[in-house]
Amino acid sequence: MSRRPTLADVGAVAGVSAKTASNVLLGRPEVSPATRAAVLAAVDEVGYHVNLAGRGLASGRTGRVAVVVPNLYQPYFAELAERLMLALEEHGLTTMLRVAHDECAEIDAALGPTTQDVDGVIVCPHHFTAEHLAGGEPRRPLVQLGGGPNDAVDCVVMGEATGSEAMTRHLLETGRRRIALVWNNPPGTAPWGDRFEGYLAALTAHGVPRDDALVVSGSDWDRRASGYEAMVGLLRSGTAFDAALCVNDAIAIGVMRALRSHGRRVPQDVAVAGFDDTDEAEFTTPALSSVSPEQPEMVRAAVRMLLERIDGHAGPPRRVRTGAHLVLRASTAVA
Amino acid sequence: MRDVATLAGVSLKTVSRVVNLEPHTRPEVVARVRAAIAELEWSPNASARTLRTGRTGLVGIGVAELRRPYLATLVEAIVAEADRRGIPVAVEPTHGDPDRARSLLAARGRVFDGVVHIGPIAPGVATDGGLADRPVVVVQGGRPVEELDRVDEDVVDAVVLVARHLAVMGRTRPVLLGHDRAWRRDDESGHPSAAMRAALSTARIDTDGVACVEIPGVADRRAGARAAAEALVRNPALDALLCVNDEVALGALATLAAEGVEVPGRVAVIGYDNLDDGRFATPTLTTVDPGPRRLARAALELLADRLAGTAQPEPRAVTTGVVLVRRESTLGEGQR
Repeated sequence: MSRRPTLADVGAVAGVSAKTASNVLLGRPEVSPATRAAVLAAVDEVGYHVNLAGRGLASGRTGRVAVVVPNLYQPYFAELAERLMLALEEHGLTTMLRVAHDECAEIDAALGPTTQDVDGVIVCPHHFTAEHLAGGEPRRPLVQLGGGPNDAVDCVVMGEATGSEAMTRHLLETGRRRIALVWNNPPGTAPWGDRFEGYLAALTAHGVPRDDALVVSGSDWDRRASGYEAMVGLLRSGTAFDAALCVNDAIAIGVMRALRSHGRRVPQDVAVAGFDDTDEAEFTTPALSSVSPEQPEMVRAAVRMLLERIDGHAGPPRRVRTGAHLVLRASTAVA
Repeated sequence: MRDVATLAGVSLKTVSRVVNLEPHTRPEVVARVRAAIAELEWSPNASARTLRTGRTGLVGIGVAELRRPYLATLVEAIVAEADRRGIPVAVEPTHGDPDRARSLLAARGRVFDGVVHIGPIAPGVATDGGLADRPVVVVQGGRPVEELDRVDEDVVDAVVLVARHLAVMGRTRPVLLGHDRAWRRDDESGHPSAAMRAALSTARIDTDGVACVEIPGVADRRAGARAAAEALVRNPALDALLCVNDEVALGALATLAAEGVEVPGRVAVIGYDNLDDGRFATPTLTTVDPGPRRLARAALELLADRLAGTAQPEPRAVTTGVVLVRRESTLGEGQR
């Protein structure tokens, strides 16, 4: 392999110093348009590539952002990661995707030293909370996307309450009264959070009493099998229900399959609704009603806040709430 | 770095070897150095390291996109395998754009030590050094366009398994939705592929009447729903749909349900990829499992050998096994 062209080669061809060539490539203002044109032509001619490692040393920037997701098997996270990468790319940034399968890995990827050479981090958390920072600050710009509201960092809060309240209301308005929750609280613990509050608010507004026997969850909340598992538990409990509001689409798809395997018809016997409106919802049998969390808006807000932090914004942690709307399909049709 | 060496009780050189993932360090020493790094929260300055060693310690994964669930599954498997080996990876979506693939492969030596590329590499994308100092491993790339290490599942065995399953179940009038997986873009003989024709003939299924509804763009659920509708119009007597992937098959199932066509009573449906979705579809989907974990393990092994400089100079091709997963869309209800 021949020697890699250097800035000195560019300078020699353009008839300027290496320092001037460098000024052009770094976009510094003190260069005349004619010189700039000559240098850029010389870059093409000699086939010079910017040495990113050298640039990283000089500016302290790498042009790379880490995106941390808990997994890619839940389509919500794969879709979100893809959208983030494309949005970052529009700003000339590349992405290092970290897949963190447990709490340790997630905290390490978000805060620890193993995520190297990035200008900032966007974390789509399963576990990360303010407590993990223990009053300190992240070592580099960090934005949280989705998950529970976090007071310690910039975060984008999905329209969870709005979305689950609207879907619960829809179920009530179409005649359902016993709405099961297939949820994400670990078995044996009480449900909490914005989505749950939205559900309660809709029940209260319709004068329907809360019944905790209707709340079930599987071993985790990312896999379709966990929805299936949780629904089998609910069916075996003998609790009567005529609808199932699921914490996400993957869970809802497992729930629909379990109902069918046990001779319950969707939507005639049980209405089923998901959350996230992932790509698969439209093509299930029957097609799945879901809540769209308006991912493009979430992604835009997260990227904007991260770029501001990278550019030195030092204000207190910010919170952006995004919207949600219903996408109604056959799985919640009137019985 | 000196602090790390002191705490771990090793030389600076040893810390450097561990950080740069060089071979020939005993596992317990590696563990000790890593523990010291974690305790001190020391972060090697990778930019300086790159200038000095020419290594970045980072491997790039090129993939068309993550919104295709099978690709997400395969990427996840590769990331998990890389994690297990302590190799940090960055995922770069290329969206089928040769320019993006080009810049990913050109980043070897600057951003990445090597690249695992999922799917075929577009013609004209330079892969120089792909066997030596800047390795490229192609996963599921089909026929090689360059001399590179590659890993593919056994697509010929896959079509043999599918053809035999059809024959055993008494299906004789299959229609292809999208190409069969043994078919390659440079295959002159059209659809089905020569391997699929041979497999069908062996299974005593007449190949002359086997139609193919082509899927020009992205082979997703929507395309599958549309292709199934077209197949029903063009070949009303069809008794099986062989789909290029599970997404297409799942879309086809939605169309068949909407049209009141019984599955598998009238039409059997077979996918490819063994997506998790297929286990929960109505009916559950018969499919071929290409074994993403096996593919990931083989790919990382090839790459690690190249990075360590212990691989033979010639390109290597690894073929991994496939499994036919038989479910309700061919067997009927009551099967799990």
